[in-house]
Amino acid sequence: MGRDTFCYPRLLQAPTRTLPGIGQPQIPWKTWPPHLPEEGFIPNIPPNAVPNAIPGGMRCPRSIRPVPRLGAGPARSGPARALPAGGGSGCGAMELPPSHFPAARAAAVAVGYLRYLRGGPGRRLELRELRRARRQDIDDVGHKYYLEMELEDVLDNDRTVSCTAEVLYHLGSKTSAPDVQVTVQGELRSTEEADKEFYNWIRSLEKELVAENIPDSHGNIPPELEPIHLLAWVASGYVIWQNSTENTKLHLAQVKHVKQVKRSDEDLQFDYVVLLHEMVSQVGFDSPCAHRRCCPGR
Amino acid sequence: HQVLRIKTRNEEEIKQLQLLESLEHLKLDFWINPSAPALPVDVRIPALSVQSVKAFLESQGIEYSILIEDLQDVLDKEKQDMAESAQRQRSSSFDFGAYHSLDEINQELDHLASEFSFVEKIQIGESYEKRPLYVLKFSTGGSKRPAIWLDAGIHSREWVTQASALWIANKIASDYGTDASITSLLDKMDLFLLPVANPDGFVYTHTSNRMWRKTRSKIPGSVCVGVDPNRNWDAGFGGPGASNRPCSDSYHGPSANSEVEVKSVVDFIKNHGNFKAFLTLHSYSQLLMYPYGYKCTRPDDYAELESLGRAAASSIRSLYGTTFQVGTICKTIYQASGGSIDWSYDNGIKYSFAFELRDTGRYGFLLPANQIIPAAKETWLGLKKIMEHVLNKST
Repeated sequence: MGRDTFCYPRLLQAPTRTLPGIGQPQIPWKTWPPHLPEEGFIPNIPPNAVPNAIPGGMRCPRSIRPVPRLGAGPARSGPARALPAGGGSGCGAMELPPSHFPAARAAAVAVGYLRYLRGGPGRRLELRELRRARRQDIDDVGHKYYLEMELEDVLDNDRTVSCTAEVLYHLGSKTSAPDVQVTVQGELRSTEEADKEFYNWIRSLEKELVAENIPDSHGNIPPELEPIHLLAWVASGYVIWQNSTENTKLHLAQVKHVKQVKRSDEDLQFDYVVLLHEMVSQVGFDSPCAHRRCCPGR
Repeated sequence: HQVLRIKTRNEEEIKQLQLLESLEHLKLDFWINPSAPALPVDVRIPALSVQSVKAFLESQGIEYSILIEDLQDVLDKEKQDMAESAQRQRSSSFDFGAYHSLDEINQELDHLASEFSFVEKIQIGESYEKRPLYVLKFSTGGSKRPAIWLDAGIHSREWVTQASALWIANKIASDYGTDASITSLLDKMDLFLLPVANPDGFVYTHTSNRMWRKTRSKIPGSVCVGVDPNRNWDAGFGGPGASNRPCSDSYHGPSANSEVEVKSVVDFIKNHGNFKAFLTLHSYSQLLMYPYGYKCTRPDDYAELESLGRAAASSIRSLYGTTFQVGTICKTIYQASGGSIDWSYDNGIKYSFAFELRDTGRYGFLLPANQIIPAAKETWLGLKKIMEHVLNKST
């Protein structure tokens, strides 16, 4: 690491990176997850992308239609699929104090993953409380955490939403991201209105949007850039999920830079450089990610 | 005294008012004199004359309304407003709800020291780049009374801590004499407050890198700069949770107390010899922690510290509902060697606590300025709870 916290080579240029004191985790980019969020918004973080390359692969659907999810999914109506109490998949799990770090780290991964899946320019999800945490050590597989959380849908008047999650850190998890499943109880408020507004605003700009240091040194975010900030949370949710281990707790510290990339189609694309803060080693590192936003409401 | 506004309709009524004006024994004070029917006439009437003047006006059919019901009230309020404003002026135009530069902070320390007789600014050493390490000493007398230590900003990027420390300093100074708790505390104990424990790092966060954490010392044999001052204390130094690599943000340094910022505090506290509590402010995560960090075993005073921690967290929560998790450093956040409260605890200062202030990651280090005062207020409640307990046990 260089003179300051930004010295780490950009993740995409250096395939391996060492976190001091932690070993040699590798950060390969994963292949695109097979499921789609049901809203029109799809973050697209391409594998092995070079900054500014137009990502191939996944395109945005022109119409929003529900797509069956693999593994994770919000309950669409009625009671959610709750994790079985006691026996079943929680069998043999050890109760953890929610205030202690192992539970908190797993929760951070789950929330990051959820933000990636369900976040958007019009939706801000915060962890209000980790109610319960259990850990199960599975021979030859890894450590699995069962979490019960209370989230806040901040832009929906801080409405609280219950959520359960399972986070599996693979044994010797130097090369793979944790497996995460998240179940949100009930519906999250639709952000169609806000998404459309954001989309139209960006489309109305004369020049491609460029911004940096969100928030600034004093914690300020210009209100019109809040959706851009929320998008950064979505992107970093992915990066956090992908790069977390049982020994790390990652947070988005700041959006260093965001640049809208001109496109010939109607999709929006933003390239971000985000500064992530790792709580345990106190490392900060830059992580550039590309981000694509789909035409909403069509 | 009342002030009436009289509406005259014609010359005749004007004449009547002018007649009234001539009656000196009524002691009427016309703010606007009767001149033309279109213009209102405002008159201040002494209490004794109010009834008779009103009776006169009514008998003449002259319209009036009460402009000011009770002039004294108005005057009193105004005096109070002025006094408060003067007080605000006097207590400088320092905005506790904003982030400030090191120079501005130092100016405010001078100001507090000059305004309050029991507040003194002392220098306990110098940083690596030769900036003074200023401590505010709160002492109402005695000689080497049992003392409480409070520091902030040892990690320079944690801006809410230096800002909160200033608010807290002002709060303690202002409320001595009126707040029962602060008064009984300072009547028996001294308080030493170091608001900017890492001034070099702090300046660097303003000029170059907002996310700088460490000191700014040059490390022999490395291009990297700075040591993590909260891994540099002589408590399990060099153990797990600290890095031996100079370029790391948790680099412990070449040896314990290698950093002058740390050594100065160590020397000061040792020389004083009568500290009962060691409290330090960090951000972020909303945690209230006690030893140990360098090992995961419980301290001997675990039960008392856990209970006191919970009480303090409860006080914090009472204000805005902000929850702080309580526990040992090792269990709550991570194993980390060379930390300040481990050193203080192992050196006989039982009440050693580390606070991690707001928030839990939404803004992290970049906490908006409008949260400074709420953060300071709630933190102060937690600190107060601890200090009251310490007072109880130490005197």
